[in-house]
Amino acid sequence: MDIFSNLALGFGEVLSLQTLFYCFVGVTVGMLIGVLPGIGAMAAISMLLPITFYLEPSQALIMLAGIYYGAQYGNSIASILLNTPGTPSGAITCLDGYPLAQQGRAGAALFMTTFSSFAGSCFAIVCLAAFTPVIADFALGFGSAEYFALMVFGLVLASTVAPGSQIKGLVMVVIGLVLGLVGTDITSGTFRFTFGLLNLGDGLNLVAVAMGVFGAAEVINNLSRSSSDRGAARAVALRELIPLKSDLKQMIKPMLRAAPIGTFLGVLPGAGATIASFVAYGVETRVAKDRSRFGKGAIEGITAPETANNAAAQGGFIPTLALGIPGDAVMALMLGALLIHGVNPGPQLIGEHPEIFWGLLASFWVGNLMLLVMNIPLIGIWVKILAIPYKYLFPGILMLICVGVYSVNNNPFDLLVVFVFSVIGYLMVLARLSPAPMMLGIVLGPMMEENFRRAMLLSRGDATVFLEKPVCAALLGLTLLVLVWPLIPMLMRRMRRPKRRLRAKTLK
Amino acid sequence: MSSGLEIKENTKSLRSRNRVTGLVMSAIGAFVIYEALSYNLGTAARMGPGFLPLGLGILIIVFGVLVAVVNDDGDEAAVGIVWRPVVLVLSALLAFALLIEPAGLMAATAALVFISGHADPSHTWRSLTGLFLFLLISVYLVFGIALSIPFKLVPGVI
Repeated sequence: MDIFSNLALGFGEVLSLQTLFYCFVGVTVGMLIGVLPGIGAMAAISMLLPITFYLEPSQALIMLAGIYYGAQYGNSIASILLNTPGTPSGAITCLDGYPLAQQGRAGAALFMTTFSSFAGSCFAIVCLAAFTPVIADFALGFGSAEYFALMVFGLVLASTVAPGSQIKGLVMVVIGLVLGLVGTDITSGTFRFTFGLLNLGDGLNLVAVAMGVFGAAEVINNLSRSSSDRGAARAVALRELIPLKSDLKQMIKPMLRAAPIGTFLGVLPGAGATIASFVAYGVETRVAKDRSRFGKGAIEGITAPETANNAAAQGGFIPTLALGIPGDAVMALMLGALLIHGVNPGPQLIGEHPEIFWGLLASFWVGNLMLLVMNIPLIGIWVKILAIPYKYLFPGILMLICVGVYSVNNNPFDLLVVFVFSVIGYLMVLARLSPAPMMLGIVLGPMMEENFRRAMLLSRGDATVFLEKPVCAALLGLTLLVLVWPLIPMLMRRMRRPKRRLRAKTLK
Repeated sequence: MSSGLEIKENTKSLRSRNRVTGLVMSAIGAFVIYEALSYNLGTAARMGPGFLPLGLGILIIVFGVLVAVVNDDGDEAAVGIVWRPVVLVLSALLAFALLIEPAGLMAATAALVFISGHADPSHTWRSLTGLFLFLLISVYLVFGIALSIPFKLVPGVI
């Protein structure tokens, strides 16, 4: 196996002073936004995306990825100390983390969540190294038809697995696909949906759209909530961090269960870190002998979700890097970053740019180690940062959004795009529409159209080509299953109802 | 008891809001179709630029109608509008967009910070001035000097 030479290549890429620096910046920013409630990974990544245009593509990806998995470390600090999750994926950690803090065991809880975060990441990184090249190899044989079917499957799964209305997820995907088509049609040169604006000729600026719907809309939403006092976090002494021997014993099994669950759900489009943490917690409550301990500071209740959400954050890179199919909005932005750097994502990525794939993989190890080292001894600093009120943060967030977008092309038109999508983003909050499926659609729109056109061209306009190829037919069949799945319980209920009425009649 | 009633009322409002959402979606779909028809449709084998948008427009209408008719949001409550942050944050963004080229970074930053800052009522002019200076200097150092983006602090002067 040449895995060692590949890893050597990866570490060679990472272990330069410059790349280490960007990795460090990425994980530190990730840690920060993880700690601070009210700023999500998505907003932070879109804000820093413009800066990465000045870097090498692999460095850019390393830094952006660092933000994403770094946030999964930071979120447990706020969950445990303040009973407020720093990011949604830390919400479930509050349930048992905060009671532990009330029992005076915050330090030990933080040590355990950090350690399980690290373990979860490590497991997922091994899976990433083992499976991504294999999946990519398999997908190299894909033609346009298979690729189109894969995108349909990924998009439908991503928009229906996420919590909330499934129909709304689907409609947002389709609207995203249309938004992705804005600009010049590559085949015919026709301007589509540009409304005579030359600035739209190259398509919508992905960064501007993301900052509008994720950044600005999020700020408005946070400010709209009545500012409940977060309360001050108690200082944590280093001595408290040392867990008991019984804690260590209790944390191993939940970690072993949660790591594969998290990785698997991370790979699945649409599931992601938040769902992974909930599922892992759910599994622990099922297998536990004494369920009553949960909610009162059970060790499993914090280690399992924290293992799972980190594993999921890393696992999400598997489909993104192997197939070029992003599973969630963060991964869509990562792909966007690659595209902006002129790197085409897809199964050929590992072969064509081994330095990007193996460099990123090696950076995960390095980044996670940095986070482990940063997290535990520096806990005092994070607690202080946690005390910064939101009112001092949001003007800075807005400023970064504006300056970041402007710096991409030095074009004020992009700022107007941010404004328009902030309005749309807020309306979406009111209508309870999720922006994530829309982002996926925007990124995949052009690729999907290209593959659809090519597949139909090769089959001379015969749509049955999508059913003749086995991989293709299987993927579309699975898609149909995903679409029909939520309808089954509804139909069952309908079927049952008239029967009950009949029984009532006969009883009378 | 009262809390139960409240939740019921909110689900109702989300439901009626869904009807509006569905209608807006369908209108968007109709518009996409209208636009798509103005492009060359082509044939199934040689698709023109209008082919896929036409299909997507139809899908949007179908899903839009479903959003209006089927309620699969569960029992979640609708979010109310709080006008202060909405108006102030959005106008701050617009002000920055309109000011950055003609009036320069200093004026645009001032507009952004002082307009959006008032979204939090506990901010004072003093605290906002502090924020403004801090943000202006750090942005100018990081973006203007380190990343050499050609910002003009005050056009014609610097």
